[in-house]
Amino acid sequence: MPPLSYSSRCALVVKLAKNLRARGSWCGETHLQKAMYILQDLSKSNFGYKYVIYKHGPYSFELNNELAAMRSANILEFQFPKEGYGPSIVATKFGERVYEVNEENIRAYAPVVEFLANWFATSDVRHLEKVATAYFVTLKNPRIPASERAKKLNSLKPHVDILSAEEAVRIVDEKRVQARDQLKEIFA
Amino acid sequence: MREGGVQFWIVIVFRRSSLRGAMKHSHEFRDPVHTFISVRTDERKVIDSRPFQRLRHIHQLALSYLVYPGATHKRFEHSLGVMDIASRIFDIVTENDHVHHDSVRNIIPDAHAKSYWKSVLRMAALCHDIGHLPFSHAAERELLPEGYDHERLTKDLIYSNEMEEIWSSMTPPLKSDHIVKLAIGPKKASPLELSTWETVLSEIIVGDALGADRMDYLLRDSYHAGVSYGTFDHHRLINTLRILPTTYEESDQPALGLEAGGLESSEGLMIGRHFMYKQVYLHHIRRVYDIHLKDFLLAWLPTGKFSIKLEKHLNISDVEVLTAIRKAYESQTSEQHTLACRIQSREHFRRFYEAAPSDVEGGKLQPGKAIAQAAEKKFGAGLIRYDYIQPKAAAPIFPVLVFDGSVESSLQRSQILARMPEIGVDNVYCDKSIRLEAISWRDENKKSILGL
Repeated sequence: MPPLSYSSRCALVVKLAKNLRARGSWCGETHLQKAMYILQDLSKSNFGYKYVIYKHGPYSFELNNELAAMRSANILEFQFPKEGYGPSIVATKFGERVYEVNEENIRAYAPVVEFLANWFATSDVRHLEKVATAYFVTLKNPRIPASERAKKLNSLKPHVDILSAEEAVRIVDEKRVQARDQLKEIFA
Repeated sequence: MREGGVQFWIVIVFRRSSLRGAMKHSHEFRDPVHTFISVRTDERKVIDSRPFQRLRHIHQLALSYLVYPGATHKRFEHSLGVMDIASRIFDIVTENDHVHHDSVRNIIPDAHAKSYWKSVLRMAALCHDIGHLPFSHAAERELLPEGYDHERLTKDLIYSNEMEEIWSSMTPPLKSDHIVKLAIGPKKASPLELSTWETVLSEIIVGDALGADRMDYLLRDSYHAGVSYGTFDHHRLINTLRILPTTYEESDQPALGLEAGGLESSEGLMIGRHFMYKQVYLHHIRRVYDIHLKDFLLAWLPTGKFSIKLEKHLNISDVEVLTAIRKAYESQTSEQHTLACRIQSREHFRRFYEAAPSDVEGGKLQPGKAIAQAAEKKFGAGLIRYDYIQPKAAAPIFPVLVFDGSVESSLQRSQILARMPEIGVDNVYCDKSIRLEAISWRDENKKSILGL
């Protein structure tokens, strides 16, 4: 996929946030971080977001900065739907306009955004952390068996026990096969 | 009996006095921010090393002293300050009485390992800035080869033979991988991966929300620049820091947070940071001096870049660059004469456009860039300079321990933190000689350029 301009990247984040929320997602920063991580991989794109293991698994400081810039430019805003919890990230009216202006530039990403929105819509952060870290471990170690990847996940995130890690690796393997089938024509 | 007693007493005094000389294990630095900073004898080897001593000649705030004359302090004392604060935070957050959750207890090592990690933390804090180029941050991207930044140089220096010798001679010997991870954090340490414990320790040093680096630079820069905005109740803040699970995100992952009683001091820190950015770090004249310095260095450095060879890095500091500026200024025939005059005789460019929030409404999300491109066409690229800094996340999310034992998000607990505005820069400058003309041109053309 060709590189996206800054305004097109903003539009893509707005689309991701809208689709997640439309399916009932909390859509905090963790949702956007993990969805964008997998989106970059599935679409074989490089938006300049480098991922390292940090908050709740793979995390991009570049995306964190761009999300802040989008809040500063009134494209996104925080909402606090539940006492004691972190913020949801929501597109503003101006964000909707940025999306409309750039919709054509990001049309090719629509199927993968749909795929991720369906996958993550009902996920809480605990689940996102497990599967996104399992995805990270799988990309880094594509040839090692599931049980070994689960051990690696557990060593990176000791609060994810080994059974949960094995489950997360299994989910990721299934989803990657599913994505290959569903998205192969688009990203061939 | 009596004589013998006297003799014995004298021997004791002699021995005690000689022991005092030979076994002095701790040394103190006087410091204007923290009063005294103590180091152990083996830590002093790091302070006496060439990479660390070089920091005596790297201004903390680049050329800001041309705007704030007192801001002549160096990375040397800042690094000592970061070590001191990080050390205090470590003691507070690992104290048994301050650990309330199993997920946190599980990551804190036993007493022996704890003492090792405290040493690693102190040395990482001390060395976190040793890779800085002359004048700190100014124009790193343009002045280093692709893939290099000051964190990469910091990492290379920590791994250098000179420093490895020191790490292995310490008690206990320290692993350079551990120091690197904590000194530059997970973003820059990649491909090294940080465990949860290492991530928390790196947050103690370089964390955006509550890190020792940020605490020290706000207090120190504020003191030296003579602006009081950067001060906050750091004693209270440090005493209330805790490692807490992020249960407000339905996760058990531990992170650096604080007790609710310290929330106001963290608000003070964030407000201080906001004002310091507006008043000092992003001051428009300070920023244009950074641009002029970059222009000078691009022309003066043999290949237009700083060397990444460690020997050369260690041999260049602000002193060499200031000497070169002075020489170029004094020599009318120097190729860098005009560039040096911009700094030496304050012939800096003037700001003629600053992006307003409503300027993005035409759909151009970086309006200054559009104005700069049009101005370059009108006046020529040599007379225009563009300065952009993407706004960075200002609302810090960290766990807060509430009185009933639950953990909540900082943004839920504090309306001030939730509403901290991001600050960026989107300015266009022009040569002083065309400023009035540029302002009239801006007023006539801004709407059409930005599609407003």
